[in-house]
Amino acid sequence: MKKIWIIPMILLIMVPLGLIAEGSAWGEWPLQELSKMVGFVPQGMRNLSELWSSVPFRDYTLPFMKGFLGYIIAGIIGAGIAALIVGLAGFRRTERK
Amino acid sequence: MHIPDGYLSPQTCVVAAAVAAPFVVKAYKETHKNITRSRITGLAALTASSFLIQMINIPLPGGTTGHAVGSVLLAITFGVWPAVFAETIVLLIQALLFGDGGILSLGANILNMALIMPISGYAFYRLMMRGRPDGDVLPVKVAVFAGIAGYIGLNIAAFLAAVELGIQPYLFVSSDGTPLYCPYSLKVSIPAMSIPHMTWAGAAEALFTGFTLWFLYKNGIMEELK
Repeated sequence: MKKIWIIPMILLIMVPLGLIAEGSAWGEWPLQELSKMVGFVPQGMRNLSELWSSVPFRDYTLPFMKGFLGYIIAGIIGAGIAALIVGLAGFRRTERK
Repeated sequence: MHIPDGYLSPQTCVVAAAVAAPFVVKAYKETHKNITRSRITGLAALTASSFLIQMINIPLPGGTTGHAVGSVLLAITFGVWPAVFAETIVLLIQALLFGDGGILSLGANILNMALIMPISGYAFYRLMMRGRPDGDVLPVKVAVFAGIAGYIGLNIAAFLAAVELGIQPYLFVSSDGTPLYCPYSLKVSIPAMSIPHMTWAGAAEALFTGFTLWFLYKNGIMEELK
């Protein structure tokens, strides 16, 4: 079962490749980028886009480390927390076993 | 495919969240109740993998980017409910910590990538297996079927996201007629989302799903997960 962790390990090494692609995904443009494209800022969007402005690691960048190393560490943080929460969901069950 | 806040009207977001919520609750309960120790370890590892594969952005024609998701792989390996639960957690962390996908639009993103994608992909996988249990089919064949299922699931999710975005300018406009939220209609959103997902992002999803499943069989991990 330990071998299954090879998969996220390989992906972690590949993660910096994600930095090569430039630009935003379709429909995920920041406000300024969209307003340049269509010539105006949709009113409702202006009100909603700042709903959650205290994102700690926006766009998977760390405040203290830039570049591909920061991107990898952001990956470790995110993937690690996700794996931990999912692992905890099965916790009581595994205790009983 | 992670719809940010502001692109969907609050009404759209509430409807999507209301549809997704009971499935997410059920998914948590089922996962918590039924999953075994070895499977929970495996689920955690592939949840981490799903998070990481989504960081590998692929440059797409037209200057946009896309990526694989990995929720069909979770459904084929662990069943639909653990997949729904695990992918929901991935999306929650992406939204809260990394600003990838909105908070109000989280329900819509869960609906697309954590619900419809794994369920539809899994359904197509089962159709291709024609009732045979996984162990009765050659690993290579299972991997190919899984890859196709991943491709289909991703494309259904992308289409759904395009519809959610594309209906906004028809339904929500300000008094002077300008769109209040996503300004692009279905005529633009569907080809803009579907063409890149039918090509590069779909290929990435198929390769990731198929290759990982093949790896799990080749190394006897699938046996341990039983």
